[in-house]
Amino acid sequence: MIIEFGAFALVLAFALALLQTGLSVAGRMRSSPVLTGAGQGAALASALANALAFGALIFAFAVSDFSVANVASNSHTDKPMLYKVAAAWGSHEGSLVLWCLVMTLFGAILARARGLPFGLKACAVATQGGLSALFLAFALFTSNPFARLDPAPFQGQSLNPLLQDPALAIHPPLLYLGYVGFSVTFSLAVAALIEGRPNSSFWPAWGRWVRPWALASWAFLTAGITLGSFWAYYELGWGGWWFWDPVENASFMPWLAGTALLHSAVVTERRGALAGWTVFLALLAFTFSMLGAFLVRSGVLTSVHAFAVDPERGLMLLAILGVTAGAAFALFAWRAPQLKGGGLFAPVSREGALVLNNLFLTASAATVLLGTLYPLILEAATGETISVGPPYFALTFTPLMVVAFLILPAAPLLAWKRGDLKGAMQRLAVAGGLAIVAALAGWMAFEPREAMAAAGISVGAWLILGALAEVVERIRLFRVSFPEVVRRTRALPLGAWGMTLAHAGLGVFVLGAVVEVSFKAENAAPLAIGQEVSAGNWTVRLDDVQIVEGPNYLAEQGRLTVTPRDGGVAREVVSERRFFPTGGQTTTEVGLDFRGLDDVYVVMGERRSTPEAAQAWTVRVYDNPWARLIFLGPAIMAFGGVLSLFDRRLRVGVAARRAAPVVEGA
Amino acid sequence: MREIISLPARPVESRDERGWLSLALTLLLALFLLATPALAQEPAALPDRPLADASQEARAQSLFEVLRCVVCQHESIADSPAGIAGDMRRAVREQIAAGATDDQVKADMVRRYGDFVLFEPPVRTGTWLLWFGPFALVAVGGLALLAMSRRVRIETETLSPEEEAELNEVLQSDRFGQNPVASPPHAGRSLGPTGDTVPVGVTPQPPISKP
Repeated sequence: MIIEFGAFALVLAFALALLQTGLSVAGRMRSSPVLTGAGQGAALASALANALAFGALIFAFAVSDFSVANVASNSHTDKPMLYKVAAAWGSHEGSLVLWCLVMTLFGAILARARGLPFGLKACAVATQGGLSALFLAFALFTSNPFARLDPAPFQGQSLNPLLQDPALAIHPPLLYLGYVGFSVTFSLAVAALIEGRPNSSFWPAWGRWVRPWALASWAFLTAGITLGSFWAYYELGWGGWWFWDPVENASFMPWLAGTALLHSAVVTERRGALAGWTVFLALLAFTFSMLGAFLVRSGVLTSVHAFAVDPERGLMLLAILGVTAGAAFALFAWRAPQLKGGGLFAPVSREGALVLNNLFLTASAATVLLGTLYPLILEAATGETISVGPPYFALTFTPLMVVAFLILPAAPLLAWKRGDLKGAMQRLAVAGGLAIVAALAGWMAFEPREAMAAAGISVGAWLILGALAEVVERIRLFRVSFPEVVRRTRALPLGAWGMTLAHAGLGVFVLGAVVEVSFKAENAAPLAIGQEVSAGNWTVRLDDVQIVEGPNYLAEQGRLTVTPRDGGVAREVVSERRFFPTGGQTTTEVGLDFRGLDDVYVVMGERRSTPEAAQAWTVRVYDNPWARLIFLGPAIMAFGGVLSLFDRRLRVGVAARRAAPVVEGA
Repeated sequence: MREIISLPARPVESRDERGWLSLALTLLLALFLLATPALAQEPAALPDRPLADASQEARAQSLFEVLRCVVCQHESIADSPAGIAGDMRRAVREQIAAGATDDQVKADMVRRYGDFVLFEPPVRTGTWLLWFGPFALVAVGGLALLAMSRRVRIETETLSPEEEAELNEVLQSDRFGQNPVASPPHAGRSLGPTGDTVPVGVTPQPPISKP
C-alpha cells in the first residue's frame, strides 16, 4: 500500500511540477501575482510530494519489500540497516528519485526566496518546474522505482559490495546537491535572458541572487567529489585517488564550470560586467551536470560507477539534454547581444584577472570534455579505438592549471577597474621568495631528487602563501598598530575568509598531489605469517590471519604491523578481503595507517602457497607520502565555500532559506 | 578456509519464514563457494616476478601505469587484478629484460592490442583536435580578449579639456532639453577622438565607467 502511495506521490510531484510551470508562465504573462503565487505553491507541493515518494522508497528498502523490483535487485535481508536505507539511492531508479527530490526542493526554496523581482522570479520558478517535470517524467516513464514484481522473489540480489560502505550514505546526496544546485543557476540564467535589461542595476542584483546558489552548489560538489575520491582510494585497493575515469570526469566538468561561474558572478555582482558570460556559465554548469547524468546512466561509457546499461534511457536523457540545453543556448544566442552589462575595466585589474581565471577554467573544462568524449566520437566516426587516460591529462590539463595557479594569488591584490600590477607583485614578493625556498626544501627533502616535483611543491606553497599574503595585506599586518590589526581582522567579511581558505586549500591539495604522485612507493609480496615486506619508508609484517564473519560476508582478516624503516613506533593495521556469497563478489578493505601526513596503505590479497610456506597471502603495501593533504585541501575549499555563504553581503540568498513566505509582487 | 565454518546465531531481520529460508540458502551458497579452491571467480593472474635489476623494474612499473588493461574498465595494468593484465605485465618485463626501450615496448603492445592499449593516445591527424584543441582554445580566447581590451582602451580614452568644454556646451544646449541622465557630463561615455556629435533624439546612456 505504501508502495502504491509512493508511486502516486511521484506522479503527483510530476503533475505539480507541470502546474508550477503553467501557473508561473500564465501569471507572468497576465502580470498576475495570484497566479505566480499559485505556481510557487505548486513548487512547494511538488517538493513535498517528491519527499513522500522518496520516503516510501526508503521504507520499501528498510522493510526489504522484494515485491518491488528495484528493492529485489538492489537489496538483501542480510544487509545492515544503514546499507538497506542507503541502497534506496544506490541504484539508477532510486538515485533518480533523489535527483528529482533535490531539484524540487531547490525549486521550493527558490519559490520562497524574497527580494526577486516579480518577472524574474516567475520565469525562474517556471524554468525550474519545467526541469523538474522533465526529470520526473524520465523517472516515471523509463525508470519507475516502484515497479512491482509478481511473484515476488524470496530474497533480493543485494547491492554491489563495493557500494556497501558508509560513504554511500553521504556521497551521492552531496554530489546531487551540487549537480542539481546548478539547476537553479540555470533557471535564474534563463529568467535573466527573458527579463534582463541592458545597462541597468539589474545585472549586479542578478549576480547577487545567483552567487549563493553557485556557492552552495560548488561547496556541495567539492565535498561530494572529494568524498568520492577518498572512497575510491580506500575501497578499490589500487592505491590511487583519481583515475581520470570518464565518470569521474563527468563530475569534474560541472565543478570546473561551476568554479568559473563562481568567479565570473563576482565580477557581475560588483561591477555589472561580464553579464553575458556569467549567464553562459550558469547555463553551462547545469548542462555539464546533465551530460554527466547522461554519460553515467546511458551506458555509452563503462566505468566502475556506471549504472546498468540501457540505450532507451540513454536516448531519453539525450533528448532531455538536447531540449533543455539547446533551448537555453538558443535563447542565449538570441538575447545575449542585447544584454550588455556595464562596467568597463582595464586589462590589468581584478576583473581582468578573473577573466583570465575563466579562460583557463573553461579551457580546462573543455579539455576534460574532449578527453572524455573524444574516444567515443572517434570510434563512431572512423572505427578507431583509442584510450584517453592520465598521461593525456598530465600533458594538457595540468599545464593549463599551472598557469592559472601562477596568476591566482595576484588577482585578489589587484583593484577593481584598474589594478597596479607592480604593487601586487611587490606585495607578493615575500610569498614568491618563500615559494622558491619551498622548492629548494622540497628538492632536498625527498629522495630521489626531482626537479618537476620541486616545482610542483613551489606552486602549492605559492598558492598558500599568496592567500596568506592577501590577508596580511587586508589587515595591514606589521604596518599599523596591533589594535588596528585586530580591528581590521575582525572587520574582514566572511566572504574574504572563505576565499582565502578556498585558495589556500587548493594549495594544500596541490602539495599533497605533487608529493604523492612523485614519491609514492609500492611493493607486493606473498607473505606467510611472520614475514615482512617493505615499501618506501615502511616495513609491514603479517602477524595473523583470521576468518571473520560480517553481517553479509565472510572475510579473511589480516592483522599487520607497520614499522618505520628507520625505527619508530610500530602500529597495527587491519586489512580484509571480504567475500559476499550473494553475487559471489570479493572486495578489499584497505588497512590504512595514518602517519602524520603520510598514509601507509595495506591491501590483503589472495591466499596462495609459496615454495617456502603452504599458506601465504599476497600483501601489497603503498607508501603514499602527504596523501592526507589530497583530501584535506578540497575539504578546506568546501569549508571556505560554506563560510562565504554566510557572508552578510549574501544575506539575500541565505535569509531566503529561513524566511517566511512572502507573496511576491503583492 | 576450507574447514566448515559454523556461523553463530544472530538476529536476522526476517519477518516470516521466508527470511529463514533465504538464510539457509545463503549458508548453502556460502559453503559451496567457500569449498571451491580459490575465492576469486576469474582465473587469477600468475604471481608477478619483479625484475632483478631495480632500475629496469622501475621502468617496467612506470610503463604499467600508462598501459591499459584491455578487458577492464579504464584500469591500467598496474592496477588491474585481471589475468590478462598479469600476462601483459609479464610481457613488458620480458622485453625490458631483453633490452627493449620504453618506446619499443609500447610499439609492441600497440602491435598486439592496437592504440586502445595506450592511455596516452598517439598524435596523428585524427587526434590533433584532442591534443591541440585545449591550447588552441586558450590561444583563441586570449587573442579575443586582447582584441576586446584594445577596443575598451580606445573607448575609455579620456577627453582633453577642450573636448570636455565642448561637450559641456553641447549637453547644456537646448537640443537635449533638461535630460537628467545626460548630466553630469564627466560621467558620460566618450564621444570619441573626432568629437562626434550625439544624434538628436538619442538618450545618452547612463554612466558606464569613470575614465
